[in-house]
Amino acid sequence: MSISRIGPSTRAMRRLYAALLWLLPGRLRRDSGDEMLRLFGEMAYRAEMRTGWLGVTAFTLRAALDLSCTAARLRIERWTGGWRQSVSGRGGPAAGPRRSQSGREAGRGSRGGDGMLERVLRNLRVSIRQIRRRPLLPAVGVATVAIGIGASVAIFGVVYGVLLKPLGLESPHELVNLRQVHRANPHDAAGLSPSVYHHLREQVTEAHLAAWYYDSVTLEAGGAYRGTPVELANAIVGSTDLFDLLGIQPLRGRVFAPDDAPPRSGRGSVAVISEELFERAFGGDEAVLGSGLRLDGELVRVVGVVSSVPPAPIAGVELWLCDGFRVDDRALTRRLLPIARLGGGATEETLSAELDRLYAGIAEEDSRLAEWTAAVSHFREDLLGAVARGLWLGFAGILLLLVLASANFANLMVTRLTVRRGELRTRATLGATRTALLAQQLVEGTVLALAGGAVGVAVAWLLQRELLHLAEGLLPRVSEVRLDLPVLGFALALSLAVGTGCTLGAALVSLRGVGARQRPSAREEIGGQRTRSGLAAAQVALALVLLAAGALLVQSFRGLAASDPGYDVDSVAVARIYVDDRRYADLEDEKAYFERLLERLESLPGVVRAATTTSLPMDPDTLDYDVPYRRADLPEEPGADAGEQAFFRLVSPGYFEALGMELVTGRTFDDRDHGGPPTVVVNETMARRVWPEGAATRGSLVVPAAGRDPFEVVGVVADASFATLGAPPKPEMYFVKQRYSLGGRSLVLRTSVDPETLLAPMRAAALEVDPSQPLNLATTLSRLSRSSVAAERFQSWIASITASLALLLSITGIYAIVAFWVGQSRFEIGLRMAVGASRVQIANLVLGRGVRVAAWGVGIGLLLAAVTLPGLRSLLHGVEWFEPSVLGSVALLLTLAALVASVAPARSASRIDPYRALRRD
Amino acid sequence: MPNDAQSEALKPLELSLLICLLEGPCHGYALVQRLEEETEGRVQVLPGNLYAVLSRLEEAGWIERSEPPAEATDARRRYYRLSAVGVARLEAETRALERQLGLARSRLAGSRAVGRSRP
Repeated sequence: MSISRIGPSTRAMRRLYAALLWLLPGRLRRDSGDEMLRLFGEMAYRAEMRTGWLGVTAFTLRAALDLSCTAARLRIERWTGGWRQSVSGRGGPAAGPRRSQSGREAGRGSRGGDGMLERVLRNLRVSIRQIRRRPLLPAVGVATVAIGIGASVAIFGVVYGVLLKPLGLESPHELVNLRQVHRANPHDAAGLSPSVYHHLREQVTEAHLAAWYYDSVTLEAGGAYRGTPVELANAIVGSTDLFDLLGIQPLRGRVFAPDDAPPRSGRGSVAVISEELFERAFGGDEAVLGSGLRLDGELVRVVGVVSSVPPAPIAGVELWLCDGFRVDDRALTRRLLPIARLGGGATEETLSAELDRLYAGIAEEDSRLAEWTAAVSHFREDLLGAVARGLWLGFAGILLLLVLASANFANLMVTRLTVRRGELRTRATLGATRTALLAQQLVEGTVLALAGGAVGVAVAWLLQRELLHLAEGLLPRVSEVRLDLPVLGFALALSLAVGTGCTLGAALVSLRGVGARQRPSAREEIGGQRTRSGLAAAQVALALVLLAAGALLVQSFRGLAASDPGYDVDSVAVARIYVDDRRYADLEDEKAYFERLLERLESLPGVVRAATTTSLPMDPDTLDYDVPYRRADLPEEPGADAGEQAFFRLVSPGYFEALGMELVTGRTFDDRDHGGPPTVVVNETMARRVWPEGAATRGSLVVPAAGRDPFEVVGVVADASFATLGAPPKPEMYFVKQRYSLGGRSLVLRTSVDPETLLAPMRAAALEVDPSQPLNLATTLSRLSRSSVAAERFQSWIASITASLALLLSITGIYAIVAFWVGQSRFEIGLRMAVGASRVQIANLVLGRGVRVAAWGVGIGLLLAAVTLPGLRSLLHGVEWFEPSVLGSVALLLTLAALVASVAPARSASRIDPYRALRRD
Repeated sequence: MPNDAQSEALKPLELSLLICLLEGPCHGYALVQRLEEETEGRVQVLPGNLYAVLSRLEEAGWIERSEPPAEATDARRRYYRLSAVGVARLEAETRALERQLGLARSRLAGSRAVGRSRP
């Protein structure tokens, strides 16, 4: 036969086999590898001729298994010196008993002369044969383990990546964050001013201090830079010793040196970039080191590349710059965020106490700081503390599922042993010891659990992919989560533990009667049966609660996602922009710039209306604050504490039209409002609160933060959700007259086309107006509103996954218990048939058993739901915890599931041959 | 080595392969086919195991590589044949098996006379 006759599928299989040959010890591979491959090709070709590609696949699997087993045996034999032993061995042909082909399985493992490995391999072969003979029960077992391990591994992967993986910093437990807090109100936290920072840094003895602050910079094209022409990047501006303090080593080049700090105010002219930026914008080209990069119009030199380890809970930092934090730099007032490494023996408390003393000293010189002190918090805790509890809780919940899965698996193994009791007894009669039988079961159980673990890893991969997709922006360090070696090791350890633990337990229970003369008493068996039924019912109960909770959360999320936010979400494009305060220091310049920008944007085809606002709806990072106000027609109450507050928003005329907000009474802003008397537009909630009698449009408001003169209310707009979809409306005031420079602003554009298509033209138009002012976060309002409920989406997804897994587990649980009962009751079933029961009646009897277990479970589950579901109230929007339709359909679903689970055992029960059943027992 | 090997019990596959090779020099694929024919398809050996066993038999000195026979269609294949030591080994094994077979036959006849034992 020549190779050219080999079909395409055979050729692929041949390549696979050739790869597997590398498993063999080198000598055999070199000596016979080619021959093996040739033979494989010939046999595969024969299989293809006989049974097509299916035959080739089956043959390849068998040949691959054979090759792997052979390789393992040879390697271990060589390792234990057994190669020689197998040739020059023990006893002559006449001395030992001959093995006969047919009696092979019966006495397996009972002889003492074989090596450990021989026994295991033989057990493995027998196990695979046994599994192939009765595939359903093992398949359910594999599925059960796969569910339990898949879910556990998926969550463990996240826990490991986010919480347990090293941070890439030196001894992170010694690192603490420092903030300046108000003595009376510790929630009022701020950064430090350079003078305070330098004072602390010189005086403090308990720790070393470095500091940093966030900045966003524009990166411009030129030199080795290959990114988009102008882009905005997140930067951290740190002291020159920041990297040394954190213990971050550069991947290439160097980090900052003390003399990198400029002698004047402002940032130094060297930059360290992240690995991602290095790859993305510089194509991984080493030449960028030492070359220039245009940042905010100034040339800086790239000196090093570090892996992107954020020294703060912020994702996407791509640039590090340095600054000497000069005391006279006004721009840094209360902006520095110090990070400290505790010295030998120092603790958070001792550092806190020392800082408190130092602040008291500072206050003596600068009375403005009398009310302030420093708060110390753990770096790690700040970064991960918020998510750690939730993740560990989720992990614990999933481990509960794993326990249930293991219980089901153990039940299935007991069932399997019960079905095979006759065979086991035969083997025991032929001389197999209990240990040998146990070993056989152990190998079999472990093989099943390992197969379950392998499928589980695939399940985990799918789950984790979806999980990370949904958790984007909700979890820090998401990039660290993957199915790497420790996680796979965890999966392997878990599979082995489940396999050996469950099988051992199951085997000890059911082999009790095999070796000994006596079978377990009827009372013992009934007791075991009750325990198992109880377990299955408990699973149904748990599944009911989880399914009901999942259904409620999904319903609530659906309602939320479909809720009307009060805007025309689908046809609005949005963007943020930060104006350069040096370039637009003058208010009139800034106003003129925005007018030019809006004009240019409105000229884009597809844009209907463009407007600016200080606060962007659904944007988690937007600026939004409330200010005091009072009715102009009521006298100011002296001594009243600040009074009522409402949200302050400065918009341009056209804002309401651009967002599609509904006007209730009066009018929105127009050109009159720029020059004329001060005006304000309020929302319905505000109007109702301030003018409960109605007639808001005839009133005026005094808002000191917006101007001295009273503002006439010209219009009332409908309430809208602001921070997130479904958020309850709050009192809002809209102003149009700008009194001082604001720096940042957001743009809203109403479009007549799909807003996604306008994002690129928007960016380009902004750069046309001023090449140094790129847009930040150009996106659509519908994207923002979707991500504003990301946490709820994540919750409902987790809940529905957990519920589905619990449902699957309760199905396998019921299957295990019913199949066990059928195996146990062959005699009874045979007797019923012998006295005239029809096969249908037998099947109904078995189905009834499954449904009875489910009914108990549903009953208990409903009670449990009545206790636990009210706890969900705070998570539900627009859905009551008691929804009869939800509970009813969940109960029905579980009953149906029990029926489905009982079908296979019912079928096998109805096929019992009464003659054999009665004779055997 | 061959002396030591004399005293080693043959494994079923080793025995079957030696018996196959009694027919004359043979290559891998022919061995597989012969083995299947002679056992009516009950024994199917796969490449990995086959060559592991062949290399062990070769090392024990019972088989050796041979030139392809004159009628061979593909001279690139590797052929094996029994060595003199292998033939002797097979003869000894056959005698031992015959002895066991005889014992089994006579005892089975005896037990049948007593009556069938329950499994």
